[in-house]
Amino acid sequence: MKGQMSEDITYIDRFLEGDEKGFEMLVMKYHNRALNIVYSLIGRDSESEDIVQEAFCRVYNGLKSFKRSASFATWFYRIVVNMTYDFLRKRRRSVVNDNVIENAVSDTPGPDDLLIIKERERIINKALAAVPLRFRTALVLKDVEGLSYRKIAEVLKCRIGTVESKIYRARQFLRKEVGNVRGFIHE
Amino acid sequence: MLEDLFMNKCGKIKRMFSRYADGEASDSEKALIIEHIKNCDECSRELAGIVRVKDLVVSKRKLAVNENLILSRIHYEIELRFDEANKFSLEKMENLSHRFIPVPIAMFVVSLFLLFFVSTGKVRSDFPLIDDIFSGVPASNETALGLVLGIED
Repeated sequence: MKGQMSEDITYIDRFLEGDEKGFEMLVMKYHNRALNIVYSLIGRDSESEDIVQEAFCRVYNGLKSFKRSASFATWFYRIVVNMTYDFLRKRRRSVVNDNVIENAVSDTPGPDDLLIIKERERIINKALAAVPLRFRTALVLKDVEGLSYRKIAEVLKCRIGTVESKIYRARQFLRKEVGNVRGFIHE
Repeated sequence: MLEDLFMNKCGKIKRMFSRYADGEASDSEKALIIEHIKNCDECSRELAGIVRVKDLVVSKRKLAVNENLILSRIHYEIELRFDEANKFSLEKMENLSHRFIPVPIAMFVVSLFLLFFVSTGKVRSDFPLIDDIFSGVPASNETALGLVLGIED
């Protein structure tokens, strides 16, 4: 984790010295991670891309004022989460649609597999959308991005105990939602 | 009574399930959970459900968009905003100049006029004594203006 932090600091320094490559490296490193977080929170692919793009524009303008007391990742994820909340507040909805990003699949499954994967994704996304946002965010940061409880607490500005409880509640909701789909999860 | 105590214990244990599933539980907590679920079917089922749900979200397909495409889009957006910001600030300056430049010009003209008028008029020595003014003796507009502008002898 410290190695990652120092890597980010190197990129930031390069950018602040006028080398655009530093910013590009940050985009390459964090873009897809942020995209998956936003997509898991709102379930809309093109809008997820817009939010992440907007977040990077903010980072570009705000890197000069970035305080190094926090890690770049924490700062960036906070921007991403806040922008997602803003988006959802404006939209007042968090319905998941069935679209998947066309060029998003890293492996290339056959048509039958693709159908199964699509159906599975649809069920997971639908179940995720049913989890209240305040619990879903912590869950997504944990299970999609793989952050530690401490990092999640820093991003959400709350105590570790609160993070733990949010994740537990989210999983209970999810379990109930997924359990409603017969045969999807065997209890 | 014993049942209540057991339920209470279940509640405490359940709160640790997520920590356990995420590998963040301490060794003593892990031992406590394992010991408890041996004797409690309900907790055992719940833990299994939580672990399955976690695996489900973790295994969720990850999106990956072409990085070069993203970079070009972000650069385009930043440049667009930079141009717009520049254009906006120029327009803003123009509006401000239209709106505010006449004001200092007008003030300058008025000041010149007043200075000219007062300097060619009387000086304080020509005015009544200041004691006379504050004693309630009516003063002319010129007197008051001379005092305000602070014209010295």
